[in-house]
Amino acid sequence: MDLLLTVGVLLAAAFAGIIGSMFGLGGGIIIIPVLTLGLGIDMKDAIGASLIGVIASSTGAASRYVSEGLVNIRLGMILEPATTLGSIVGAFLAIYLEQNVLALVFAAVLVYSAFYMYRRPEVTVHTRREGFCQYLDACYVDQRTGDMVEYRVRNLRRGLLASFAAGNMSGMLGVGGGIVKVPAMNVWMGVPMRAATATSNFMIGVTAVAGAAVLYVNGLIPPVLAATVALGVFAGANIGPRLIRHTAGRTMRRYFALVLIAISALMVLEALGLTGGA
Amino acid sequence: MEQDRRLDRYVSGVLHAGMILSISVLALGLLMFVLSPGAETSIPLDRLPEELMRLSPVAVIDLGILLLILTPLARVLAAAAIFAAQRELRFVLASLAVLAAIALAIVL
Repeated sequence: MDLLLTVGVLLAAAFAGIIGSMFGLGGGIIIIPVLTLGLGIDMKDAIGASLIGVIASSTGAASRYVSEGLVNIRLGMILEPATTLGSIVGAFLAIYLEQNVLALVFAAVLVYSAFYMYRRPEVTVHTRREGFCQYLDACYVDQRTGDMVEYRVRNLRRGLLASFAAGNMSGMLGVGGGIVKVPAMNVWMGVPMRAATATSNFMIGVTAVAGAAVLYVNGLIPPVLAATVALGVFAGANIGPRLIRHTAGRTMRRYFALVLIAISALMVLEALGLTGGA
Repeated sequence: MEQDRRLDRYVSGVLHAGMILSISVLALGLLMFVLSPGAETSIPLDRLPEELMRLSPVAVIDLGILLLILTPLARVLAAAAIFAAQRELRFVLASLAVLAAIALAIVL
């Protein structure tokens, strides 16, 4: 890789790390098109490097979010097996199903959730007793207001299904997971936006590990490119959480809706073959 | 709540350590690669130790990538250990299910 390309990869990775860590996304949706379309890197190499980037994003952001007490570790651990199984099933289904049609269907679902999240305020059930956080119910200190926020997790079953679907999506399309999990946790399960994005960040690394390990063993991870992406993403993932710290949950939800719209637009373009990728 | 602080502390400690370790190794490897560029192909796992002994830059980078991949697994194990110490059987099982699902994905 020459110097200019290296700088381009670092900048793209840092940007993906910032956006990913702010909204609980892996950032692959940003890294892959930039690497392939913007920098002319081979699709296969881009996928391998981006999976490593997802792990870096998750590790970097989660180490910060966990120490700030924002991640609902128990909820994440309960949902993780569903996501991982979902991605295995998705990888198999991908062989039999028409990917472009799937991408369009998913894009439609994302647009719907975007409108929902943009227009409705979040509904969370707060526990009454001071300091009462156990099992899946959790609490954290909101850095913006300094208040202790306590919330109750609802609809675990629907959340498990959504996590399975999120895994499915990443297994079939190589994209997402976070874009399904964050709305599911926030809208269905009553997890405040700040905790939902932090928890999604925390979970994404584990989901990506399975895929990354398979590629690594088969020699499909390009070392130099992946290392460059990882370093850029790490830098971004340490900036993102600081940027979002003082944003209100309501505003975060709106920003997230805009990110959803942008991502579904990208998916539609790709499904229609307008980006030349995949 | 005190227990949750402990869980948070250990899990974030593992993630932080994994991050620092893989950043250092990756940066070192990239620096070595810039100083003595070579082929950019990945080194098979069984040849990694001997290539590391020869201080091959790509081997150092591959080690960093491996450390990065292992970090999320390490934090699942750390959480499982704490859940076990706190006798939260349900969450120990959830942690093991995570590992089993990853193993399944790799085997398939």
